Amino acid sequence: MERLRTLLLALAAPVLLVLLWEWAARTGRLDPLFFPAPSAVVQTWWRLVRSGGLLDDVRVSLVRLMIGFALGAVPGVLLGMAMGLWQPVRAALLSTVVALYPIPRIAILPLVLVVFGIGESGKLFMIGFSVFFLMLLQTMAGVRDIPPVMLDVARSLRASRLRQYLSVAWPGALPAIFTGIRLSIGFALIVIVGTEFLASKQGVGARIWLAYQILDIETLYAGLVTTALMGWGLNLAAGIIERVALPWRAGR
Amino acid sequence: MARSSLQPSPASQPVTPMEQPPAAALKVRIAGLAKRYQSAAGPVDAIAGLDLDVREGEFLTVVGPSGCGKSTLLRILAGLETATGGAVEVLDRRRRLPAAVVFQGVSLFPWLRVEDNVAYPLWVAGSGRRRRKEAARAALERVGLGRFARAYPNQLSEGMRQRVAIARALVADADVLLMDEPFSALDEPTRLLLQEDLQAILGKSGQTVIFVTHSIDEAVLLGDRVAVITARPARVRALYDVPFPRPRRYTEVRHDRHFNDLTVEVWEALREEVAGGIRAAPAES
Repeated sequence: MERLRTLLLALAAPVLLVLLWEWAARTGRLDPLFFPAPSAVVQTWWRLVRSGGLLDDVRVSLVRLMIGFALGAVPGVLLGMAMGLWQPVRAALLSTVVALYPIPRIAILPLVLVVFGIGESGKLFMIGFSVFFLMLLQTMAGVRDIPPVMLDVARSLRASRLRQYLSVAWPGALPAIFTGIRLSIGFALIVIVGTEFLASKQGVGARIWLAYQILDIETLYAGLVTTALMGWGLNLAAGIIERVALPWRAGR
Repeated sequence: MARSSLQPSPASQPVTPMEQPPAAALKVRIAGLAKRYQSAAGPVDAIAGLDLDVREGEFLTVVGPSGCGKSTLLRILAGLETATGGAVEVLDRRRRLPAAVVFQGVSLFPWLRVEDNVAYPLWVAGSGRRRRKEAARAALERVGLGRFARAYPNQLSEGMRQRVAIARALVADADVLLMDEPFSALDEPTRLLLQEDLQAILGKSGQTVIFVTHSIDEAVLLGDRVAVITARPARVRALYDVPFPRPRRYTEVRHDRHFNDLTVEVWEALREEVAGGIRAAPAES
């Protein structure tokens, strides 16, 4: 009962908001040129899904996102591990990382376009760059938060370095790594859509940008809905993977 | 080595290693052990000239003022820190590892099931899956937690987790079992139960145990001998025999006058060290 009540309350607010919007648009209280009725947006969205190639755009964007994500996250995790485990590596690199981390990801787009051109590699770099630092810092923090006694357990049993890393450092950092993944998904979505605005003919971002240029407001909203669904779906997938990968945290 | 200045009671004799009965074989020889840390305020001697002989199969408890270096002693024995002087020698090696540790507080891996935690020492040693499983099950039965093999540590109570940690240390198959205040984070009823459980678990296994604690009651209850450590730098101030039959139940020995006399004697020895330590204690390094 408690869960049902929570669910109903959580649904009530957005449903009410949409109904209010629908009513305001239909009665002319909102200018449908800028704020088309939700029902019209849904119709347009459905039409684009069925025949307009919206799913192709989603596929293109998701493939870019996942490849770029892997290109950024894998080195980020590895370097974060190294920096968490070894003080000299940390001393050498931490200040550089901290200096580069706050750069707004999208701000490097012009530079990337100059260096990589309009092709796929620039887009992948943008996404990789946007998640690399976050994954690095999360992994490093995760490693350093492992209680020292757990490494003592491994060391007291004369575990090899490799076994220490495999059995303590990696699983110990994994929860923090998953937090990094969830946060990175948001970053990556922003960056891929923003990049596709300016440097792509395909993808959800390109679709939105095109709609803007021809003032096709309903398609523009349909694009927004699509990105929201992508973010929701990616988070859901990350949550499922996390539950499978971290079974000991179930019920927390 | 300092000796107790107190009169020996009928139940106990302060003894130095020199006065050991000849029958007891030596298991660990600690001679002139020293550990010096470099701190911001200059060098700090945690241990200086500590001599201690541990006999084969005995349960030796080590009490001392907090911060006296008794945990450092244990970490050196465990190979987690290196001494800056003297020597530690585990004699007559018969098992796979010289020493295994039951640590203070939460030392189980939360990401492993109880049975995999217990089997961890064998995984480290490269044993196969079946051998690991069998050894873990057997050790869990020994500590009375066979039913919880598939659970995760966070599903167990603190007392159960510490029994799992004991099972893990037993699986490590070490000549000396080192216990670093293993029950100090537990509530008192749980601690009293585990003190009894530990005696039952070890039984007549002949396992040599070095048990560090800051609880005098615990030291006297569990130890075949009690070593009182001085305030920092750590040395052995006095050794006491605890000639009482096992298993010892806290509620029973409390009524034994000799046992109480011995507890008071240990307390008197420790008291001087604690008092001296409080007055002269430099900042904890």
